[in-house]
Amino acid sequence: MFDGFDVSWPLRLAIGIFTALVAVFLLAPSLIVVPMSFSASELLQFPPSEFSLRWWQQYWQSDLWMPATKTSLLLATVTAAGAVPIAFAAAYATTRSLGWAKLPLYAVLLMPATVPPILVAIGLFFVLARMHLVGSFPGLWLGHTVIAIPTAYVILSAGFARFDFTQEKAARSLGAGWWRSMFSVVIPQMRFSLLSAALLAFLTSLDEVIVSMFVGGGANTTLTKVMFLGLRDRVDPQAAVISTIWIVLVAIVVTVVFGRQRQEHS
Amino acid sequence: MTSAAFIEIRNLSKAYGSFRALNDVDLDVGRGEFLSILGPSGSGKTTLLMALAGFVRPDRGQISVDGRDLVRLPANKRGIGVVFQNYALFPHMNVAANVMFPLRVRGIGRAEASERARKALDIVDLASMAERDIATLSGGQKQRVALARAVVFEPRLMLMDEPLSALDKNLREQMQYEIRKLHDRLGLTTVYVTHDQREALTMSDRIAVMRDGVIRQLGTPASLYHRPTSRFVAEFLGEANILELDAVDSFVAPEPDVGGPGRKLMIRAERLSLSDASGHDNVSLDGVLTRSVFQGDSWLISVALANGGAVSARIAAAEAANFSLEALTEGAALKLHVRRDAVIAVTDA
Amino acid sequence: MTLPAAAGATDNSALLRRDGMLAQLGFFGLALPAVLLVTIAIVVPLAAMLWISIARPDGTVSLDTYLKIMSTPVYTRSVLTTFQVSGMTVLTCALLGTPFALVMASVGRRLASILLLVVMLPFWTALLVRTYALSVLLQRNGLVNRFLTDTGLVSEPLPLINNFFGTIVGMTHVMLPLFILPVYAAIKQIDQNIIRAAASLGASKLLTLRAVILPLAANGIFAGAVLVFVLSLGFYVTPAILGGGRVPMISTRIEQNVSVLSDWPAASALGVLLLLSVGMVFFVTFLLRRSIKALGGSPNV
Repeated sequence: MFDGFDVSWPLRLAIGIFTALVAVFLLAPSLIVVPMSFSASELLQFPPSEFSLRWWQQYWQSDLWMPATKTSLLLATVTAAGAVPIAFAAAYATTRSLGWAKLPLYAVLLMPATVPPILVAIGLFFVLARMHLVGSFPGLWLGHTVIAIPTAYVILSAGFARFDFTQEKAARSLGAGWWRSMFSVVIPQMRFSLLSAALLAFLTSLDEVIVSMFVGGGANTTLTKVMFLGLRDRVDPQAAVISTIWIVLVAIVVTVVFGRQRQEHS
Repeated sequence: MTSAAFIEIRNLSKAYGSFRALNDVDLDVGRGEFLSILGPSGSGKTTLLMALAGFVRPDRGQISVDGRDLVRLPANKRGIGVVFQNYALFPHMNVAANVMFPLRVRGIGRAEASERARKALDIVDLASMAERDIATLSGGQKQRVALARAVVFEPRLMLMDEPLSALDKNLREQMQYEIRKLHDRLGLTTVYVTHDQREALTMSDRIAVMRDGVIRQLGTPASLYHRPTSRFVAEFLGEANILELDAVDSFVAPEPDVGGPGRKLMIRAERLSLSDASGHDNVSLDGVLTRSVFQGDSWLISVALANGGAVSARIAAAEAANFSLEALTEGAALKLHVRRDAVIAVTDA
Repeated sequence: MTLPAAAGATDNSALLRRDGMLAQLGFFGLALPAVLLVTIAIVVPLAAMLWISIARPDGTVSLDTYLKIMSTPVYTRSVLTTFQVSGMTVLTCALLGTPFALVMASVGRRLASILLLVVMLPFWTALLVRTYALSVLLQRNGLVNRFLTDTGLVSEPLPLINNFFGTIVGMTHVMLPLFILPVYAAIKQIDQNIIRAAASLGASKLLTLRAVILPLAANGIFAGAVLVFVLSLGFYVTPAILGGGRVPMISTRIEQNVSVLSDWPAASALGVLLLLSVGMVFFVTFLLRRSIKALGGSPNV
């Protein structure tokens, strides 16, 4: 950016230190939980004074954390499975047509992202209580899917904006019906947008705290609810284990997706 | 209707808001004909083609192909081959899979589809590239694959939307020849949209010139070029001099209605000559040279006429040499000659 | 060639119009599931909340609940706190994020992609994980306090969490990536030639930064600030954990009203107020942009 200028070295150093400090601030919280999960201490501390696998062992045997982990993973999977096709259909419709109706549709579809989550949570709690669905899996699914829709919709709309709809016309002119052209031409070419949308919908669900707090419960208690309640009451080293698993999981998924995308582009 | 035409278009209209893309278009295309639709952008030529293909729903009007009205038929049921401007090859399939696609869609088995795709690729000289990825093909090769894919299911009607606009000049001329050859060989009826007048003149049996959603003139390339009825068609197809009716001495109107308001005379630049060839009914125009530009095979000279107005004349190299055009300076008096039947009355729009 | 008269041609415009409307209806059908889910899960509950906040038990309508909220210090303080936290978060994000985005835009491609990864990683890490880790770092015998006491910068460990400071640190950590990304995108869009031109005209770096880059980047800074402010207004998790109950946001009060006090009218009224605040910010943003455009100024400012 400043290639037309010389920047004196003291200024360079100052800028460098500032940038490094911000980077450390951004990264540190994500990274320190890994060594913390191997701490032997009953107290949470960093750096740990002694290392052990006791928290990992306890996590594995816990009848609190393990079922919550399973619930969360299952919920995140069905949330992605629900939000992505629903957002895909809406993104296709708003890209292809619906001229005057586009703006109101955007407003409605992005509502879950603009309304504060606490309001979504108590609102859902209120509605689901009437339907006796508080603490049920479908209730959680509804909440998480709705919250994941804006993200999926934005990603897929961006994908469709880059998609050449002549492709669809070509398929139709060659004799393919709507479904056929959708499944053999449109969807294969939208695969990266679909994958990104699914991934982010999955992460959105896994990360969701407040709706899970209000709507989840009993057998359908999510990991975030267990973690949040644990954090509010006392700092539980078990949470470090979960956090480590989470970070490793995300790192793998992101690397795989980005790696494939880069491969595809080159 | 008892017309023998293969395609019959009647009263076809399409408006986008207040913009009338197609304004009551009537058009007949004969069986086996190669018809070009020529016009500037926004003239409605692509809208007309896309209405034929089934991608634009007209507001009203009929489109019948081979006696069947298909204006309400979805695109995939029309059985028309379409070649798009950007080829629209499927990037996630290889060449063979692209060409097999229309056959597989029609429920034809893999073995037969593969065999027929091979034959289609053979026709466009790409049999050896069946397993290639689309991304590895050159522009010309992509064009051939698109052609093979559009003909493999043996449509009788072929629509092409400026298929050569992305190619460079040499390749474009070669592909013009090949597309025409394919049309003749397969006995297709082709409707070909272009904004390139030379391409239309080279390839077509007939040309429909469009402007503002209306077909301005329809005819063979020669009739359109030599006998345009309007200033627009005259100027769109070549170098045209437009003069007032009284600019040519002793000019006798060839048609009874010429001389009405808004009429002009049109003379093609290359029909003007310096020599007065005997044995023809010529008219001559006196004037002075205002500019002369050497263009290799010819000279383009501008002449201010004594009767008012100005013309550009394209003088072939041989004739220019005979008259020592090089030696003439600006302001020199000149006499230009033109056959009386090359002076055409046109409407002034 | 003469065309046969269109005698046999019938006027099919009505049929074609019907086909067009059916196709349009099909597209609406595709968007319907999404609209339906959002309606069930958000629109209907919000409407219900609005009703609860103004309905008396006898079915009449009043603003009693709102008047009660505005005269109760617990609630007015939470409104004030919410705006303080949000404003402070925007400020720290702007102070840290703008220079960081500038650096990202000016370094080489390799370093830039590493910095982008640095910004994205916390973005992908679970909110609770980050908040949890921050609470460990900032606690009384945490890494930060030990560093400060060991180096002799302070004699006693500082109270870094369970207060306003801890909340701002946590909020900044959550919001900073959301601020940096639009600013970075805006700076990246600035035509490099403008900067070279400024350099060739002899403008100093500082002048270029102030007169050329910052005004052009203002679009991104503005967008980032609005985004961070709006998200902060309704934030619940981080203030609840790092504030240790001493930083009562509107969202915290809403949660307590529902889960502890079961006071639905108060929770609903607070919710409506929160929603109005968010709406007001969007509305003011919209007005600002429009008036700047109307004045013929650059929409970047």
